[in-house]
Amino acid sequence: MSTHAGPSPVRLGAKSPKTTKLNMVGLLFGTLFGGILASVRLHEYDTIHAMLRLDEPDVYLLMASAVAVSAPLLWLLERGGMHTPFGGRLSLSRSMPEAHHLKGGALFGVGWAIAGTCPAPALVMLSSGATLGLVSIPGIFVGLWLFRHNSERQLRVEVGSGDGEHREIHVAPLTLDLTDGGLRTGSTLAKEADLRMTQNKP
Amino acid sequence: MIDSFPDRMAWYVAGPALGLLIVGLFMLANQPLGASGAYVQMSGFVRRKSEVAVWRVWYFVGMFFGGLLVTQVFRSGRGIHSGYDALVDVFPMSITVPLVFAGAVILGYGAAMAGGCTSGHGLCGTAQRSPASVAVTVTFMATGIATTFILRLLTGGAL
Repeated sequence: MSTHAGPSPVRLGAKSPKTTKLNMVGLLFGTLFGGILASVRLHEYDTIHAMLRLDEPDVYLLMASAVAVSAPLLWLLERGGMHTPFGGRLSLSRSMPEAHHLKGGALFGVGWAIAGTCPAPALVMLSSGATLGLVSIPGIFVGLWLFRHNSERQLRVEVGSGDGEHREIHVAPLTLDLTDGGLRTGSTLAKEADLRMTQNKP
Repeated sequence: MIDSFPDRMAWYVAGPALGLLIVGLFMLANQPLGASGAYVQMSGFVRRKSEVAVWRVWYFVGMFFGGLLVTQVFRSGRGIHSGYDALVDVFPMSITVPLVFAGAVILGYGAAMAGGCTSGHGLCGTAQRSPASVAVTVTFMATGIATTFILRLLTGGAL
């Protein structure tokens, strides 16, 4: 691990004008997303509960109409080879389902029904003045941390080595593999891990 | 407080708006709007890890801020409340709090394993026509509905 540089300090401040702009894009899109969730009351337990009790179709229709609007537009923009200001050429991720998708999705649904919230609405729940947001938000962080912790342990067994690099190579892309919906870090981490592995080869 | 702001915006207004928001972030940064990825970045940021996408931290803060704007400024705020009216009616706080915490841990763990949540797979992944995201979405909808019906049975229909 001697080739790996120590953690560099992270700051909320920007390094270049482009970083500042991207940070402001993040803040703007977060605000609009949180605002839309609040405007349809998705931050309330009762809304999610009524949806999963099949009492009202509103949330299903909301999700379906969001996809119905965005899917064709994204398809056209990708086909047109659009170049984005911050992220290069617009590209869509289309992975095939694997066992961890189904297992993770099944667990997520159970927790979603019990807690009556999910990651984005939990933040809005707290800003609406709901005190139990202080329970659900830390819970989500603990859940994410537990998986990272657990998968590291499991994979150490699978790989048959306690070696730091090997664990990083196999764990990092899996832990942060939010390729389809979340942040795209998996491929970047895999590339970095490959680089590290090459550097450490005898 | 804005008097004309709807008590609950209609799905046919908010849904397409959400769709355009998803397209907007792809057009600007080639990035999906997933929330659990922002949690991962936020936790990395708090633990001062390297390789943190700081703009995702701003995005995380933005979700809270957008909620604040709508629930406290556009609407008259409800003040401090539990946020779990239906659950609190059925269970005492000594059960509600651990139940909500347990549910949140399970959903966080599941989101990490699946690689996304309702916004990640349910909206943005599905919008990209990702087979994995469609599979995750169908799965969590099914187990979510099943769990809710089991909770209803266990509470004698009170929930």
